[in-house]
Parts: sequence; structure tokens; C-alpha cells
Amino acid sequence: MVGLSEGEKHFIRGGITQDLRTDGRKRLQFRALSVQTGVIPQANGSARVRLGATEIIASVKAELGKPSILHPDKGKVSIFVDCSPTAEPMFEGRGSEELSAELSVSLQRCLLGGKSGAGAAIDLSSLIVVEGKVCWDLYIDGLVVSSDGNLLDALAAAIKVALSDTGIPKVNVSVNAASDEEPEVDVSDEEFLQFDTSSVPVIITLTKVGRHYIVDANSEEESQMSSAVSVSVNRHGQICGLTKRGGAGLDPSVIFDMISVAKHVSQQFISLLDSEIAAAEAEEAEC
Amino acid sequence: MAMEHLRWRPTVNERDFIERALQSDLRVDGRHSFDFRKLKITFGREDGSSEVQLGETHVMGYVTAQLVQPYRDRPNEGTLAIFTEFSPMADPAFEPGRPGESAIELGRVIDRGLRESRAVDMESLCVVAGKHVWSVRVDLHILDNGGNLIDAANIAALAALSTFRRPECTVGGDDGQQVTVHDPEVRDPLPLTIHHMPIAVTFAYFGEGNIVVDPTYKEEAVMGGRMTATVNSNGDVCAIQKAGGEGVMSSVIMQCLRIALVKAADITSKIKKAVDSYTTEKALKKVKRLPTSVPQKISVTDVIMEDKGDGELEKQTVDVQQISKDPPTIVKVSSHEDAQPMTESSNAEVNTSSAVAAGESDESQEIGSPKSLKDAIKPKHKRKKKSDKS
Amino acid sequence: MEYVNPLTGFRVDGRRPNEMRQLKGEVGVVARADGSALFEMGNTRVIAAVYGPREVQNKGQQVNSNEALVRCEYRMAEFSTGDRRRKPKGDRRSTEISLVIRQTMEASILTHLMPRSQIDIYVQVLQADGGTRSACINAATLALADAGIPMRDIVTSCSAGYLCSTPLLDLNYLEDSAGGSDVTVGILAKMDKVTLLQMDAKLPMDTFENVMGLAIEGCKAIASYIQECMQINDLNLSKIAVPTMDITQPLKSLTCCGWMAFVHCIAVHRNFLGLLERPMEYVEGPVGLLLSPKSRRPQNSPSHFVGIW
Repeated sequence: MVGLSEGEKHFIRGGITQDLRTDGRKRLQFRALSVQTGVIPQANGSARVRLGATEIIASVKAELGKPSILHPDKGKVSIFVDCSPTAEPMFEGRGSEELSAELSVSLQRCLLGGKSGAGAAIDLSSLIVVEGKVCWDLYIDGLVVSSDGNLLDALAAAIKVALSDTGIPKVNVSVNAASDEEPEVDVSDEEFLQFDTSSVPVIITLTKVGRHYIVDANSEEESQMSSAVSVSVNRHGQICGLTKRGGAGLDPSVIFDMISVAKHVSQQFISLLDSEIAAAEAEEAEC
Repeated sequence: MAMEHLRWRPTVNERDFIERALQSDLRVDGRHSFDFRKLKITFGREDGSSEVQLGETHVMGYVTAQLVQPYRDRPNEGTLAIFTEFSPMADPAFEPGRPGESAIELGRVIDRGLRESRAVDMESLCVVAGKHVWSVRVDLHILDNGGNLIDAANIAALAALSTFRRPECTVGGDDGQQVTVHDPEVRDPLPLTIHHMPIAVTFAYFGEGNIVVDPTYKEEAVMGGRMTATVNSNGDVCAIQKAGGEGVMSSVIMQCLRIALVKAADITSKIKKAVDSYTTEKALKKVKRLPTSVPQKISVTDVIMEDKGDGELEKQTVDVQQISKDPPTIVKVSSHEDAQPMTESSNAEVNTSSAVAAGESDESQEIGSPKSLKDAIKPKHKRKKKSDKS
Repeated sequence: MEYVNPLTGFRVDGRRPNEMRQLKGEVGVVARADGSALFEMGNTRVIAAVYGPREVQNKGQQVNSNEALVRCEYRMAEFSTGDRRRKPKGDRRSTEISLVIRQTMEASILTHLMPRSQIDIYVQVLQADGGTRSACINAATLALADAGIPMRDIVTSCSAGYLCSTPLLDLNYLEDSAGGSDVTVGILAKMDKVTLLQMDAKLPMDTFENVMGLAIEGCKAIASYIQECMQINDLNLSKIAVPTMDITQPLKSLTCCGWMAFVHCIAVHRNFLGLLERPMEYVEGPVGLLLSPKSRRPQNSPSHFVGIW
């Protein structure tokens, strides 16, 4: 809920034109990022990511399940987002459902790959325990605790951190000759396997305000946007997903320009995130 | 919740009046602080239905049961669920459709009192462990809100559960898994095993330390807080709900619990008395039904006497009674003398007119009346009645 | 299962029967709320955020316009419980807990000082390990104090149970689901009065008195901890409020530095002056702590932008 006066709107737009935003940032500068891992001990992996006043908690839970008949060699991953009313009174009751669904779908598109699971951020075949019988079901939950714009980028970052924090228990399958029987599995309490999260993309949203676009818009700036393009980029600089929001039309050349800027910014963001993850994990290990 | 503004609110004067009266230990309806209003428990025609009137508060309880699969974590226990229905008729503040906050709170308080204290034996509701258990459902309908719904609804639930009978069922079949549910006519249905009666007693707290029991609607609008203590007559506390509101000293709470114990013993005996008189009445009805011919014969002699008297006024009632006895006779007649057209035609007449009298003749139709003199005179009466009508 | 070791007298998680779990309170965790707090009781972790007092959003909800309308929503995060399952929002349990928390907080908020206004309390359970409603009430108390809402007393809550013929303080999930009795108490700490009391499962009267007494002792311990939290928070705030202070200095864990990170000295200064222009908050009763200098955040009064401009 942003109620801005004419003067404030003018101030925000004018600042963006002059490459000096209301909080002193440049157009392509992120807010301060802070990362904490292992915040939910009950989960297999969890993270808290703060991007300015936006705060996300992401958790990854793994449960043993059955792979689908269509893809017996792949595990399953699902992503859900919930917006807590602590972030915004508007999210009370069912008020957050629409936004939560929109964010969930955007993240699913960027991270889960196609219908067959090809191109997913996590190698789905690594989730298989016994082909066609037992696999890991990964439940990724994002909770918006505090919202000050740029929820999608923060959610994607939080999920990336949570996944890198995730340890899947090692499973020992007792070899059973009779293939019809349910295989016996023994879940280890001590040995954990880590994911390869290097291909998990981040999302960079470029918000167009006036004639310029900015990264990591706060909610005041978002209220002034004409359109926004969210680009999901992985470590290798490949584009994994692309979404445009907002009604205003964009010239294709602008979009290409935005993509290349997003690609450039993403590489900085990924390395920043990586160093934060390393720091957070070191801190967690200390505790 | 959206209807909250429709709730009655006391004016400043009314509030002041109620509070000041309480200061001098008086309640607006003349009760003492720790008196309940008049409690009336009645039962419906079927087992497991009750109606409770507590002052102006009116609640109906209805218990049903069906066989379901048990919960996985409790494979050998039946289930008990409380459902509440707050009709907007009872209070304009009740929103139709979705249950409001107070409806949910009431349901959960009663549920806690009954279920968590294990008042109803759940293991005896198991038929086949892990497969079939009885799921008992208590529906509580709030018909009129005169205040203190929780206590009234709790009594209604207990009364309904005490009179509820579930059909008997046996396990058989080749695998010992087949369940046969016996018709209540064949085998007497079974009552639930109720270990103890958790009675809800609600206290209302007003500022300056005034406490009353069983608050009325108006007192509820003025009170600062409320506590419902669910206790049984053995001196156990089964559940307590004090959802915020006016703070009270813990010593006061203990005092309230002791008062609740006394009230619970009183209400328990009232429920038991009502249930007992219901069951004996029910049992008596059954006894009456068995020697069928006795009342029948009496009416037969009546008929004959009246027939002889031939009083015009009485004739009609006689007709009705006789007609109602027709069907069994007809069956006999038609089976023996199929060919006779006279009786056939009279049959049709009898049928139509017996339909007219069906309302009164329910009972007597069931009972086969022995063939008697009347069979001979019937056609004549038939015609007579027809001519009367026309 | 043995919930109390008969030899050592220790509980499953190694506590003594009358020992509470580790407490942690942190004020100012949700940057954009008017008041917020995180509260931990062992593994149970909740966040409370307070919005208001503000204009009534839905006029139909305000029954008495002479008093503030207090609203509350309790929500559990998808990942808060051990077995993850999606539950519909606003189930019967959440609705009841929302009602209970609302009425408990209402008992302490001086609603008559804020007519025609609305206060929203949102509690979000991040991790559930028994005693979530107690933790939510404690978090809400801290958040209300953080929002500068006048209260007549500190409300705190704690649970106690009865297992293996022993009264146990502050049950965890394992003990809570053991089927024994569970007594949750909420008290007005200074007045020593019980406002919230919920219990279930059968308990003899005198045993109940002991268990309730234990829970009340727990509440009092939490009350003194919460007071400590508020004092440290106030101390830090008074440091922040002096414009000459170096605000980049790292503050201890109980600060609310989250919102400070981007605030210019000028903004702080203006905010501080802005506070002085506001009428002094009226506090009834002995809780002087609640007079917090942080009653409005810069985000809520973006007019300072205009000032700089």
C-alpha cells in the first residue's frame, strides 16, 4: 500500500532520471543483501534473505515418494509461495492468494523446466532412489515475511540459497530380487548429499520507470513503474526464463537491451550471493 | 464477522443499570449470582435428538452415526465430531452460511470437553480395526440466542448422546472382515458408552470483581470477560476456555471451579433424570405394542355397540374405524374368492376411502384384525357412507 | 513412552520438569510494520507484526467507535510443522487461536485512548514445536510495545502440562501431543491477573491448581525477560535518536537496525523532531517502558523526501 503525493512521485521519477534514487542508489544497484542459512532446523534446507526491507524465508523439505508413471526416472519438485500478512495488512485472510499464485507460477517457470522436467534448475534424475519406485519429493516453500518491492528476485535468491543449504539424507536400498515388492529403504541420519546448485538461476527484474529502467525497485518505485521485465539467468549467463509485466508496450530493441543488462547484473549478483552463502554457511558452522 | 454490527448493544443507561445492579448483588432477571436459569430438556421422537431450553436460549442437538474408515494414527477408535449451526433466526449477528468466529469457538470448546476428556468411549465404536469404525456426528442447532450458548449446547450434546442408539453390527464372512449392520427392528440398537458427563459452566466477569454464572444475552453484551469451565461430577476439570478479556486472580479462578463443580453435579442429575424418564417412556411404548389384540378388541366391541345404537352422529366415526380395518380382510377375501366381482368393486372403494382415513388409521393397519361379524355388514356400511358423502 | 525419566527426573529434551526452554526476543524484525517482534521458545519461533493505530479500513467491523478496533490473524507457515501438508487458510483451529490472541491482547491495550482507529496484529508461525499460541502472545506484546501502542500491562503467556504424574512447564510438541493435559495461561504480569486460560483433557481439581500455578510462574519469568528486551531496545533507540551518534556502529542483536540502514541523519533528526511535535503518549499504570521514542518510522512519513528536495 503506497500512498504518494505528487511531489513524492515527481521526486522518485526525477531521481531515477538523474541516476540517483531516493535511497541514494544508482539505477543498476541492488539494496544491501543479507543471507542466513539454516533458519528452519526442521527443514532439509532453509534460508532467510533480506534485500533492503524485503525479507523472505525459503525452506526445502524432502519426502520420500513415488515417481510419476510418465517419468519413472525423475523426482518431483514443487514450489509454493505464501505472503504473510505480517508483510502487508492487505495479505490478510485470502488477500494474498492472487499474488502468491502469480509468484509461484513465475518461479515454477524459471526453476522447474518443461513438462518433462528437462532443463530444470535441479537435476531431477538426481532425486531418484529406486527407478520407478522411490524418489524424493522436494517441497520448496517461500514465505514473504516483509515486503518492500522486488519480491520475485528476493524469492529466487532465497530459494537458491535454501537449495545450496539443503542436505538430502543418503538412502541405502536393500537389494531385493523380487522387483514387484516395495524396496526397503533405510534413510541415513548422518550422511547427507548436497545438490549441485550451480545451475540454479537468479531472477533480475528490470523495472521501467519513465524512460529508464532500474533493478531491485522498492515498493514506492514499483508503484511508479510502467512495465517490468524479469529475466532469469544462470551462472553461465544463459537466459532461463523471461516474463514481462505491466501494460505499457516495449520496443523489441529495448527488451534486447534490458536482457543484456540483466545478464551483466546477474553475474555480479550471483557472485555476491555466492560469497554471502559461503559466509552464512561458515557462520552457521561456527554456531 | 461482517454481521457483527447487527449484534445488540446496550445503551449507556442499560449498561450502567446492569453493572450497578450487580454491585448490589442483583441481576436483571432476579437471579442470584450463581444461579442457573430454568433448564428444560426434551427429546424428539427419534433416539439421539434433544432440545434444551436454558432460559430464553434454545438449542437442539442431533446425533447420527455412520461407518467410516478410521484415522490412520488411531485404527481402533471411532470418531466424534461436533458441528454447529448458528441460524440467523437466533441472532441477527449470526452470519448465514460460513460459521463465524463464535460458532467455531463454541464447537471447539464443546469438542475439547467431550473428546479430550474421553467422555464417550471411542474404542467400543470400533468394528474392524483399521477398516470400519463408527463415526458419531453431533449437530448442534442454535435456535434462539438468549445468552450462554456454550452451556446450553453442551447440555444438548450430552442429552442427545445419552439417548443415541447405534445399530448393532456383527463381523462375519469368509475373511472375517464383512460387516453386517442389523436392522433396528431385528436387533435392538446399542447405546454409546459414556464414562462421565463433562458439564460446561460459564462465568461472566465484570469490572470491579463481579462474577455471575450463566450470563444472559444482555449480561454478555456488558461483561468484560468470560470463562467456561467444563467439569464433571467426579471433581475433574475437563476443559477450560477463558479466551482473554478481563483479568482475574488465580484464586478467583479456583473458586469459580469449585462453584462449577456444584453446578455440574446439579445439571448432571437433571440430564440423567430427563434421559431416564425418556428411556422408560420409550420402553413402555414398546411393551404396549406387543399385545396387539388387546386394544383392538376393545375398539371392536365399541363398534358393535355403536352399530346397534345406530346414532347418526356417531356413525361417521364408526365408519372410519371399520374402514381402516378393511385391508387385511380384503386380502383374505380376494385370495379366496377371486372370481366374485362384487367384492372386487367394493375393494376399490374401500381402498380410496381408506386413503382418506389413512391419517388416523396408521396404527390399526399394522395389526391384523381377526375375521368377525363385521365382514358381513361391511358392504352395506360402505354404501351408506358413500351416499352420505354425496 | 516415558516423558520423564524416572531415575534422573529429566524430560525427553533434557530439561527439568519446571525448566523453560531457551527464550529469545528480537524487536523490529519486519521493516515496514509499525511494530514487530520475533519470539522464540526453544524451537518454536513466531513473528508478530503490528499495523496501526490507523484509520478503520472496514467501517462495518467497528462495533464501538469510542474504542480502537483490535484485529488479529494467526497463520502457520507451510514449513512450520514436521510433516508438511497444505492446509486451507482460516481453518477452525487458526480461527479460534486468532480469536484467543485478539481478546488476550485487547485485555491489555488501552483501546479507549484510540477511538475510531484500528490495530492489526498479525502473527506468523515459522516453526511449531508446541506452545505456538503462547509464543504468539509474547511476540505480540513485544510488537505492540514496539509500535508504541499504550498498554495497561505486559501480557505474557506460557503453557504447562501434566505427564507421568509430574507437572511440566512449557511443553514441546512431543509432550503436547502425548495426550496429557495441556494448560495455557496468559497473565497481566504486574496486576498478577489471569486473562487467558485454556486447558483440555481430564485433570483432578487440586492437580489442576498446581499445573496452573506452574504455568503462571512461567508467565512471570517470561514477563521479566520481555521487560529486559524492551529495556535494551529502548536503550538502543535512545542512542539512535541522538542525531550526532554514529549510526553505522553495529548494534547488538536486540536492536532494530534493519530500518536504520538507509536512513540519513537528517531523516532521523526530522523523525526525532517529529516525535516531539506529537502529543505525548498517555500511559496508564506502571509500565513506563512502553513510552518508546520510536512511534513512527520514516517509511510511514515519506514527507521527509519533500523536505530534502
